[in-house]
Amino acid sequence: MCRILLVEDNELNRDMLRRRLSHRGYEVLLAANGRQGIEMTRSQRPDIVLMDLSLPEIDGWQAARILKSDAGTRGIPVVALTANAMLGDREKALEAGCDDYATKPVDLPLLLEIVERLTGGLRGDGRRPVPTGERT
Amino acid sequence: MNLIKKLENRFSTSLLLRSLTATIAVLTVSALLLLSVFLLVQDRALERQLELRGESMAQFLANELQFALLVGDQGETRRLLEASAANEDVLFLEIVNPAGQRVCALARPDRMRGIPAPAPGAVPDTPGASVRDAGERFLEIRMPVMAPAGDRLLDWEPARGNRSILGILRMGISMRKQRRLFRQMLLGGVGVILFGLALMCGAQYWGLLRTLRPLVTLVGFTRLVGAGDLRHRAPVDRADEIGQLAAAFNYMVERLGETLVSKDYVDNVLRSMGESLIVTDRAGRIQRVNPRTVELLGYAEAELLGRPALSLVAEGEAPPATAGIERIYRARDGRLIPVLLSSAGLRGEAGAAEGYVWLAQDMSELKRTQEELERARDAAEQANRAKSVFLANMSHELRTPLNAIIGYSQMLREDCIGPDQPEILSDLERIERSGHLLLGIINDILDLSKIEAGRETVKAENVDVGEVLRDVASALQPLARQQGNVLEIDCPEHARMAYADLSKLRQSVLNLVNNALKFTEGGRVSVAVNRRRNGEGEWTEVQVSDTGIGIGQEHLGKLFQPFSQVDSSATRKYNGTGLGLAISKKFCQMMGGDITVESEPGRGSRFSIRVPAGRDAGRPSWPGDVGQDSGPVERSQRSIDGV
Repeated sequence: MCRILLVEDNELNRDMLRRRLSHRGYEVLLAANGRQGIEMTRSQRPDIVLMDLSLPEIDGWQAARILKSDAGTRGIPVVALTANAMLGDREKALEAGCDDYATKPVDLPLLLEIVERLTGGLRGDGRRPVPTGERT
Repeated sequence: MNLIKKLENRFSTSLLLRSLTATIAVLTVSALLLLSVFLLVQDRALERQLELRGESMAQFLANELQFALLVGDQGETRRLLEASAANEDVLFLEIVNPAGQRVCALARPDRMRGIPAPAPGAVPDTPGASVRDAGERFLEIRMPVMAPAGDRLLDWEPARGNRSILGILRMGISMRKQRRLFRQMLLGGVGVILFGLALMCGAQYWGLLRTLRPLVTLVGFTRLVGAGDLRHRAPVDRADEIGQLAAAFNYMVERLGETLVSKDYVDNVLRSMGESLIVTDRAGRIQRVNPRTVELLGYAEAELLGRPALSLVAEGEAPPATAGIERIYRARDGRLIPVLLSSAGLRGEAGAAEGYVWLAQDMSELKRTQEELERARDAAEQANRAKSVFLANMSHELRTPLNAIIGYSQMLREDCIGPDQPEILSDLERIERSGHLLLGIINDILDLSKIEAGRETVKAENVDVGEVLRDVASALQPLARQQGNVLEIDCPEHARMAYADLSKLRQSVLNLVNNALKFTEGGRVSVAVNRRRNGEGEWTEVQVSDTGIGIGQEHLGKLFQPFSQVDSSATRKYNGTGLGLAISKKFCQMMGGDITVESEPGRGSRFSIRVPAGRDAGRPSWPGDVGQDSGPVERSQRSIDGV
């Protein structure tokens, strides 16, 4: 099963996205701010992190930079969710080390395409098209 | 003593007096010399005349006495002498024989006391005369009485060689008359000289006065000019040297007036100046100020003179050669006056430094205005910042719940509602569409307000237009399908590069294609890229043509103005705020290009985006290259929902 860490401060959006992803069969972990997001990435080691950029305490860019500079978490893909769909945000996200970005409001099929590509084909039901034995 | 000094002074200052004195002195000396010579000659002549007269008288008497002496007739001798003595000029008579004994003598007792002894050194038997003095000047004549010649009784010629001397006659003749005559001549001469002198002096004085009067006039005129009044001219009414002098003087004054600014003129300028002027000596002590300085600083002029000029400056120095530095003067009452100060070295004719000139302009009013302007600007900037913050917040605050609305309705549509509930499904779609529409409006308003606040900046780079079109096509393909349109893209290799801001170009192209698809149904939308060259440079042009409803001529002008969708019914039908075109046009203009449109109602429209083909191909300089705003630039990257 693919485990997604969703870092999002807005409760409604967090809940909405969690439920939509859950319905697609993903296991969704939740974090409400950047610090929590970093901690959970380290402790839970999700398959992918969906990172909102405007977060309290440590913002998304900073969190991504920290995760990507840590050898232990560098391998975990980070997708930036740009609240604002602004180009500057997007470029800064890529600069900070995010692997890709998606704009909000989230176009779910587009987002899932990105997730699938970055996790090497992991799907919501946890099955891989080409099992590698890395995760069951 | 005082009088002498005064006279000396008068003498040394008056050319007239001096000249007159010199003339009188010369004339007097000459006249006196002349008179003396004249009198001397006259005296000698009178004396000689007297001598001749005495000698002739003595000769006559001697001849008469010949016989009486020869015969020794005492009585006759005496009678003859007495007859001669009747002449009042004869003072005495004496006859001595050759042995030296007196024969007979006679004297005028009232004038002569006895008979004086013969003149010493005189040869007794030789005729002669000498001037003597015995109480009274007289002429002594000596005359020998000779014996008569053989055949003649009387012989006028003395011939001592062969005749014997009978006696010697001595006669004293008074010189009183002669002296009187001499005195009269002397007096007359002196009188004539004095009269002549007076006459000469008068003539000289009058002449000199006539000569000197124009000089005195010239002196007065020179004084006026010296005082700085160059309007006067000396009268030139003579052709002589003085007239020439006056003319030369006039010429000089004229030249002076042409080449020099008079003192009055300079004073007027200083008085009229609106700036404070301070002139100092080399040590920086004030030597002169103009009235404006007195007025500005509140000091009396006398208080300022001699004072160090630097003591007027509240802070900072006043370097010797500066133009327009800001300084603060301290007035007498302690008031601080901001001034624009210029200082320059004051140089004398030889170029040596003599002091400094300070020119200060009162900037109080200017400063006040400036401060007011600054306050107004600060307020405006603060208001603008507040507006920007408000807009940023609003966009965030509005978008977050919108995300939830859109997201939840999508979720419901995707997962919770089965196909058996088509009504609810379409309602959810409406909610979602409305959400997207609202989001688009918010983004447009935000974009536009940022452009209008001048916060939008351009980051130009070499852009592959082909790639931009690929992005746009993939984003809009669903809309094209939905409208039943064919979307054609033609991007030849030679025209695909442009020098533009990638996101702004993408947003503009996206907007145009989106519009074309929206306003066309079952038609064709084609995008063509070309390279064009005109007088301004080389351009990359993206043409978006459609076969849609088109735009009437009357609406084309308003098309790019904000909130001006062609008619309000279109807003309802096609959704959108009408901001998209305004934003796109502004973006293209910011990139140095433009958007133009041609259209025909019912047949379709053609929009053309034009941006520079290369870095130096379009406008000479890029606004974005200057980089006034280095902060993060927000740019919308929207899907199809904008307009």
